[in-house]
Amino acid sequence: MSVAAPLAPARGLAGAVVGTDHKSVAARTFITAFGFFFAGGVVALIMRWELATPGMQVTSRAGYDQLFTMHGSTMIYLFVTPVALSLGTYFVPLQVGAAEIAGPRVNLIGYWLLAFGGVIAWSSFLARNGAAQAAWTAEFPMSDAPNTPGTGMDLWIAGVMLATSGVILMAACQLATIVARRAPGMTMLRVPVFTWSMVVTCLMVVSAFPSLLIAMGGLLLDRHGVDVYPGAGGATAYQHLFWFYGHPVVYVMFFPFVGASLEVIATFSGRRVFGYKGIVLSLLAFAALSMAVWGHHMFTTGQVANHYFSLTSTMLAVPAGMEYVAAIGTLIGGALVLRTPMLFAIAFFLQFLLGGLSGIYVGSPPLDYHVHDSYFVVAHFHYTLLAGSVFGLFAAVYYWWPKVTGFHLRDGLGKLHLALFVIGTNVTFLPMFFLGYDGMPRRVANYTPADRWTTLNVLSTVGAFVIGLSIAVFCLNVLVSWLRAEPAGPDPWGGQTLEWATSSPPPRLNFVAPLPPIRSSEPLLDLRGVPAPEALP
Amino acid sequence: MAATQNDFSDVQAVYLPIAAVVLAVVFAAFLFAVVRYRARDGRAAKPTREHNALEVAIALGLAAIVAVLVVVTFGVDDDEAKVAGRPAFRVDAVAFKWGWQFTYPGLPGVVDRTTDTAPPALHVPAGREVAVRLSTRDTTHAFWIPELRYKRDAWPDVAQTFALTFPAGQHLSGHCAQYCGLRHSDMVFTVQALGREDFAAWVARARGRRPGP
Repeated sequence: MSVAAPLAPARGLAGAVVGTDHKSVAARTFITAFGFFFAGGVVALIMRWELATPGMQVTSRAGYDQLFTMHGSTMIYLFVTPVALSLGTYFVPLQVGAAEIAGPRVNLIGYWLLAFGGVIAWSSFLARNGAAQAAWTAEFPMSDAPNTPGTGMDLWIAGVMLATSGVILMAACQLATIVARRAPGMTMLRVPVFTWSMVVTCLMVVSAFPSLLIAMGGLLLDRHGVDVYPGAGGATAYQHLFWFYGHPVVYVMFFPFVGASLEVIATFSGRRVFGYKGIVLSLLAFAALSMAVWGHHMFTTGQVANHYFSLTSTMLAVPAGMEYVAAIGTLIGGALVLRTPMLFAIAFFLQFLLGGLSGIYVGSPPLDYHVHDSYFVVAHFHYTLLAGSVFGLFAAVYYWWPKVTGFHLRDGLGKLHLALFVIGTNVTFLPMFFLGYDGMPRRVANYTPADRWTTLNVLSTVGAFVIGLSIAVFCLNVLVSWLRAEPAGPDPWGGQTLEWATSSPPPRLNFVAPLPPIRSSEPLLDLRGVPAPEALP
Repeated sequence: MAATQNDFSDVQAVYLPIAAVVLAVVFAAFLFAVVRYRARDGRAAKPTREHNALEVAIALGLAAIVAVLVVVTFGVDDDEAKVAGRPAFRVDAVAFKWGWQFTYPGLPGVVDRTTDTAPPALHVPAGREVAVRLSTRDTTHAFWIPELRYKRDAWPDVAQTFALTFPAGQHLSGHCAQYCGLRHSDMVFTVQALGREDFAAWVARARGRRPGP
């Protein structure tokens, strides 16, 4: 690629549309994703209000079906996946010492595909039969034209395909940056842990996400008269295509937060991360295995090889366990500073554990036969995603906020946010384990008093509103911190990686001064004379 | 004779204690680290060292746990997949939007079906192996009896057969567990698991009610 003289960057509104600086694209992706998080969260609160008591109170059955479909698809396609990639878009070039992301215009197109895809998916609420109502998985034949008629479903498919295409482009740019734009001296085994987590994340995006495009493209054709998925084989084929995307995406929504949380824990422990090579190795093993576990979503279909998928799924406990070893090994022997990012990172590991252990549980077909498609599974994946990954996300947000904006978020409000979020997530999702075990299926708009599920459902609804309150505290924190800004300086935490070796926010091409020499995955600790683990007896 | 609820309990009896121990160990480790290594005046962090042998040992330990879990799961899963060649009773369960129809190959003409006003009752002999042949008339559904700790998807075009053993004297109910549209939440049924005499009485009554040829 020939290098032209850089144009003066566009500013203002034009800059927000066509600006290709990775930091600005990342900020837009982050803000867009959070917009969808708020929208999906409001939908969740309406659903919890409806489910608090038996009978239909606030919405109709068709309305409820649209709400849970849009909640799930918004959170997965438009919030957690894009927000994870927005962290990488911002920090991968900085951490590898690059002036720009590789393929900045492709990256920008990726963002706009994502944004328009999201808007198109949500515009399905304007269609005559309302929004899509075939769940975020759109399983065939439930999602075909006779079962789910209307343009709402078509708009949803188009939106999901566009957004996913955008995500694939953004991931490809990050991967190319890591491969081709690393600063001199940064070998692959000196790449920081967060960037390594983005390596495996982006590998999974580019290898697994196209499968979703195929599944959804086929669905769109099938809905308009082409027999793509005829009969039993078609229903099975759709699920294979979908879950070949649908399980890796779970790790796409997990790895970046593991990487970020481990860096937060290392920084606030005042030492290098424990077992760097073990982390890299287990991330790679994790990613490889997770491409081979999709069939565990299909045990109850009777159409998959139970033993194979049960084996691969249970084996995930080994690399997952090694990430915990890294976190604990870093904490033990450190000098722990318990600021908000550190507390969120610790909470991420603790809360995620419930999701992880219940995941091993549902990886066993005889157990899965009972709890599959029940509220037990709803509890399980919310402990991985909201009660897990989103804690890691907030660890990253509080940690990197001063780098991106130049000012601190308030620590006291941050801790209040954390406390409410811990209470809210557990009060919401712990009862769901028991509801599911007791027989409450997922995706039901209603239940009867005779089911005796009311108490636990009320509890869960109260918890959901506490989560809402905690997010309101976060927004208040942003507002207060912005209006009365406390400048942060280039390196407020004693950071270890290259993004802390430049101003906050970083200038247009990231680094003005020459980069420090890169002799390990924590170049700033080398400067401070902290010995590398290999150098110690 | 295998029963799904016993299979479930057997596997869970291995999984839950292991999960509880792992949970306790990890929480204790984090708690210990946070209390013991909190930054105080005059104490700096120790430089991080490599502990490759320790890491390998922990990984092998985790792999050993995985091996135990998988062996337990495989054994029960194989057992659960077997359907007796000559079950005591057979049921044809058909799911549709939005209800159930149960017919009994041994009792031609006897039908339990969702009506406009009430969910149907599935009639089976208690304590004996019942083979259920499950199919769907439209989209996918799932046949779930929580008390039996078992569900199976009703798959388009293919019938799925599985074996259940119903305990006597319990109130059992079933639910569709696979989202199937507008009235998915209403797709319930009850189960009448009857002892030998009660079952014979029901058979006689049902035969008597059967419409003539």
